[in-house]
Amino acid sequence: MPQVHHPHRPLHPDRPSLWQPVLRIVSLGGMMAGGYPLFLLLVNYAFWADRPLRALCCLLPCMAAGFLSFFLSRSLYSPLRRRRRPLPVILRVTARFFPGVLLAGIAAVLLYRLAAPGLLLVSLPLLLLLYWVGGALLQGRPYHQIYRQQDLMVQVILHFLALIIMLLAGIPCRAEPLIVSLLTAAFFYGLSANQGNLDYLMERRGHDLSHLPPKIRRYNVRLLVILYAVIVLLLCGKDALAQLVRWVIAGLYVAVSFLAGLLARLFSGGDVPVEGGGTSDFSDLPAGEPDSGNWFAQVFTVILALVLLAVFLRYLPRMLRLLSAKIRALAERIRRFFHRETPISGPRGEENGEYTDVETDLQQEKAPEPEGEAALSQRRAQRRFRSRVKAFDRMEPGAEKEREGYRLLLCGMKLRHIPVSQSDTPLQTAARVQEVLSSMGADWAENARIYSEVRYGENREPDTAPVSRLLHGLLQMKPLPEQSRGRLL
Amino acid sequence: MTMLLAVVVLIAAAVALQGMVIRRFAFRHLTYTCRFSTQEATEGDEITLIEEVENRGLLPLPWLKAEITSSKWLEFAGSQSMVTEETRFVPSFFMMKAHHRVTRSWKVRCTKRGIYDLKKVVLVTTDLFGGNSPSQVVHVDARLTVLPAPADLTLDFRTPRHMIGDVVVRRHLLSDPFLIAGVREYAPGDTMNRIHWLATARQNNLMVHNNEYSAGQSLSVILNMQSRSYEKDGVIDRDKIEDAIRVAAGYFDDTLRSGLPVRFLCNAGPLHSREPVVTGEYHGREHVHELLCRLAALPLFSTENFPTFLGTTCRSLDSSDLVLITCYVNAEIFAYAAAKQAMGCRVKIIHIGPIPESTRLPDGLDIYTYREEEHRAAGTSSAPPAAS
Repeated sequence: MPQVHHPHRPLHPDRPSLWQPVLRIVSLGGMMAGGYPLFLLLVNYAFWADRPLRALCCLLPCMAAGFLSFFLSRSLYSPLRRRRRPLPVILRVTARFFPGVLLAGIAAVLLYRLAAPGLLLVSLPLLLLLYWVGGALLQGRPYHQIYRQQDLMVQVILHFLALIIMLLAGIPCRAEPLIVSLLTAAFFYGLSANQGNLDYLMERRGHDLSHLPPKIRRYNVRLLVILYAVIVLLLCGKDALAQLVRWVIAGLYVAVSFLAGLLARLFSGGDVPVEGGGTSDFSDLPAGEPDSGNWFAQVFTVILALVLLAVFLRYLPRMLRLLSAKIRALAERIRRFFHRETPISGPRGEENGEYTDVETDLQQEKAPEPEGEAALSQRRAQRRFRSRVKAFDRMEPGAEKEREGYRLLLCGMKLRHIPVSQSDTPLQTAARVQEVLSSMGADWAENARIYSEVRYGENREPDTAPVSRLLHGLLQMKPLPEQSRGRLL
Repeated sequence: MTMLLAVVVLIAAAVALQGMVIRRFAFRHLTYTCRFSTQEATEGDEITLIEEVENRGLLPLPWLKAEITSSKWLEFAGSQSMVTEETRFVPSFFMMKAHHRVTRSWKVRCTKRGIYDLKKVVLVTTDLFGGNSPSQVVHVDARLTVLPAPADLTLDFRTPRHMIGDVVVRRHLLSDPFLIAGVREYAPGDTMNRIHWLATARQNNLMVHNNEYSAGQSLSVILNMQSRSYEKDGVIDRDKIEDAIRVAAGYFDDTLRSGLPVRFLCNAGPLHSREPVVTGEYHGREHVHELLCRLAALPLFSTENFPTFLGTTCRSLDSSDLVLITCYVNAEIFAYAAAKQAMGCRVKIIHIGPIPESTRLPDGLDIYTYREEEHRAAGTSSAPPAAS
């Protein structure tokens, strides 16, 4: 079974996590990208045409300004800066916001030179300044407070408003860019919320963030991506999904109608007229057959159908498990094909750490036999033992028969869960069996003596009656209950 | 417009559904066990605490925390644990994939004797966005008995009468009248029936049989759970009492080699009981193991005043050897020891830490101090505080 060792090496508590800067950028990016509907509305109105890419080109410089402002403000307010040479407040505020004003002015000049429409000439520099100020104001927040739920709500409303305005005003537009924008914003928010939730769960009980293994963060991101992918797939395949649902409902309707028709014919005993027609989505139901008076066939058909249904339902979980195992195995093979990793065959890990983890894939571990299958194998073993005893009875008397009989005795004892060890001598075996079983004590002792003689070549014509009686006795015996069992073979 | 609405509805439904699924089914196919790698250990041993989490369902858990509450005397998890007074809180973080089992082994160092139970562990999980955080309490019922580390009876002992250190003399303390090994001169106190007449005639001097030492003796170890004479309930000098327990363990361990039957008495009882510990006098590994387990379970709480205990419970002791392990001495303890010695019992007093200089030690009694320098440096003293 594949196992993976993961000795945990706790991070130094003072070393900042690499996740935090990445998540800060992601949150800020998501927050700023959520303003895309506004840009789309302005550009589409300005050009009176659907220009999603142009809107994106207007958004990106504003986002860049926002990022620049964010990191500039962080450097101005960093503890290191404060310790080295703290700047006067007026200077700090000027340094934070003046570059934004400057950039807005430069953008206005550029747009004028490029002969941009008047609306864009006025609004884009303002938006750029707004993004700059926003980036500066967001610098002091932790990453999970940069892009909050209320911000996402506002952006969702903004998307709807932009679309409504464009539709009402007759501005040419498509919904797809807004859908992509909304999905992107939702993903960024989800990532930030997920990681922020992990930090919150750690910090609320005073745990250091470095105690959370990085693989947990990675796994969360992976699950989020899978959830997101499922949403996107559902959206992309919505038509196919709707058709599938319609087919399933139609199929169920047909099956239920058929069964109901059978039952109706069974109890009415006569011809049950079935009206033809129906909607075009459903096939016509079969017309009623003339009553042949053979109700036995109808009963048999219903019973057969019910039995088939019961068998299907009985084995459905097992079939689903098998199917999921096959899918998992296929996915694993595909993953290994693309990653070209050596299969996990043994422990791999590092030294030291406060604990060591061993991961086991339960799917590849030998599953315990379900009770039904254990009983099945028990019955098979019983049948095999019976046939071997019959073959033993047919053997010619002699030393070989005695040896075979003793071998069968050991098999029979194992089948009946009589405690015995392979290292025991025949006499010890006989003594242990007599402790557990109260009957046939004389035969056990006699057989032990005879087998010992045969074993050491002292008896070439042994009496096989005792071993034969013991074998037939074992055949009739039921397996011992749990409390009587001891050492097993 | 409908597509946009569908996106919003789909996202909201996905978020709500994953939260609902986690809330309902998170612990359904999850099993958690926590156990020690052994049921018994000795002070200073390193054992393993094994946590096993098994997820037999299809639902992965993105974050799972197991909050373990144990004693601070079981050292593990280092920087990850939080210690408050007597308790150690250890959070253990997992991510559980579908159909996976994670077995986590912590290295645990047993720093102090005692019986430690892990009764409950709280499991907490969450969904992807923090909307639902279900939790569950799991009863693990893991128990670890840490036996006291036996003190080395050849080290750290001194007699206060001599400037240089001395060690506990290992020899049998009473002679066996049935084993004769030669003759010697008559000494006052020898009985008349021990006179060897032939040797006397030969030597022209009164000679008696010289008996060999044998092991037909017994030992009683009396432990004083009070660290100071005026202590009422809880122990004040805990370190000294722990040393005293280790000395007692050392004596028990020593009897395994000599085969001496040993009895243990202590003016402390099991938790929630006012009955002192009084055991039978037996020898053998099982009996010594039981005594060590009793030492492990002793609470730092005395049931009665030690001199009273000596005068009542220990009055009728008839062992050949007596060891009194105490953190303080006074006239009543000396009187008891002297009385026992006069009855023919060999008495030894082991004092933990330095004896106050004002204490007048009686002649004729074997008194030893244990770890005198360490306790002097630590500043622990059994002297009563000065009157204000």
